[in-house]
Amino acid sequence: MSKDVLVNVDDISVKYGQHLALSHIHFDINQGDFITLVGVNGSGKTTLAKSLLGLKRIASGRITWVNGQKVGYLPQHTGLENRHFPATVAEVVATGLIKDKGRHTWFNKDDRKRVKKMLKLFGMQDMAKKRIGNLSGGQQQRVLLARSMVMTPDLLILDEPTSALDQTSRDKFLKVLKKLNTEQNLTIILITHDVASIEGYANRVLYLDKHLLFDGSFKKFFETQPFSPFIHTHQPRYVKEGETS
Amino acid sequence: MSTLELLLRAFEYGFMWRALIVGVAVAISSATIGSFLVLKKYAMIGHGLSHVAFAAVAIGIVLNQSPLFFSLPIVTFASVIVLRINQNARIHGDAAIGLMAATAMALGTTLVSTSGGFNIDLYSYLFGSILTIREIDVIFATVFSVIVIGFVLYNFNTLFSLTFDESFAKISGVNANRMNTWLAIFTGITVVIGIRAIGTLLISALIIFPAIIALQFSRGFKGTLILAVIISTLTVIGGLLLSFILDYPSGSTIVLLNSGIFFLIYIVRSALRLQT
Repeated sequence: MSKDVLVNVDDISVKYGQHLALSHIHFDINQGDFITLVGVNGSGKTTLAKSLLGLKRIASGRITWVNGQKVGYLPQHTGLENRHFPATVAEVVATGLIKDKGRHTWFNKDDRKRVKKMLKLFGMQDMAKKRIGNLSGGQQQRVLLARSMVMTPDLLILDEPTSALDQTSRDKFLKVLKKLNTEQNLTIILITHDVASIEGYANRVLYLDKHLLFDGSFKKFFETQPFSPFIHTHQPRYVKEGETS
Repeated sequence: MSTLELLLRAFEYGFMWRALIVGVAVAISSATIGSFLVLKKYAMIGHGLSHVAFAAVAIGIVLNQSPLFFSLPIVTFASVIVLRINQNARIHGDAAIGLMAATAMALGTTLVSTSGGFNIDLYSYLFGSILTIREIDVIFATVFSVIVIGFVLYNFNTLFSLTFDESFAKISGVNANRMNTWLAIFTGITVVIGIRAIGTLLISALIIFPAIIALQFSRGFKGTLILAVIISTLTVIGGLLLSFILDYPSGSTIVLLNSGIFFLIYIVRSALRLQT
């Protein structure tokens, strides 16, 4: 295991009842990686994310945190089905502090400063007292990203964060992520269908279909012909694991 | 005697002070717990539990035991079970609550009919009666509401995180199962302490209405909770005094006051929206 490994995923398999969702997945996440996790619907992308987050129990194998253990998470859906949920932007971002502060602490002046600073970083300082349900989809995404970032995570996992955004908002959002990755050396895993849009931002592609079928650079991913149908039609032709790495 | 004189006279009676103390204790705990339940879409749990409370009170009366102390473990246990059923994706939670409420009601009614039918004592447990509140009820309500409020204050950020986004709360190290179980336990306790002043069949309204009214105004969660507590406390005090003046059952007066305020706000807001 090299020195800058953040997480070692060692031969994990995950089941939903009798259904095998992930089979013998093995890879390392290195400090500063910007990984994009791709695959068709039902390929196990979200399951892998949930396993890393500790939300889904693994059937076999082991996930070892070598450095740190704080994970930020931006879910696929903002969870705001109820647009009238009474929560201000500042209140939502502050929940990211629970990991650091403990479950029973009330937030103090310093915590409020941390929240304010984080909102400023995301250009949302004027929205602190607004109800989150009144914001646009892109703004809500940024609030939830700020919630994850306020805990100063070692790893940030984002599940299809740009799927509901228009192109301008998507580019803006990805630029923010790239900045966090390069300037703060934040390790990122971004799950997406639209792998082409992530090129230029992420530096590593993991291609999943219950098995890990590819782990490498964008260049190699696009060069490897078996994956090209996936990019355009989301219908991959499967290749053997050994041929891909 | 004028209404004002009658109102002032209310405070000369010991039972009125006991009712006000119990009422305020119930108002605060039901509004705090209710805000979480409504936003977690668990409001129907309170409704189901109020029927269980009726059955528990009936069993207590039939067995010649203190109905409130007898109800406490039964309603709290039922609350945890209902929560589990509600969380189980394979069972339709609302249908299960409906079945449980009807079964509990049927059990209570059968027990009551076999032991001489509905009497004044049971009627007071159904709809609340300020005249029947004893000192032990005051102590019971005060102690348990302090525990409920203490629980919410001690876990405020965790409960908010859990209510807003359960997955994220879990990632933050919150044991969601355990917290939801505690929430269910304290919901059960709140229902029981509300039996004397509000009544078993109407206590669920006090869990739902203040939160729903507060939601019409607040942007933030803390604001909603504080407003719900204020609304709940004022309507309980107002309802208790009105019930004294008009000689109505306390529980129904409080609930009607809440629903009146809610519908008034709803109509005014709808009218304003139509104008703009």
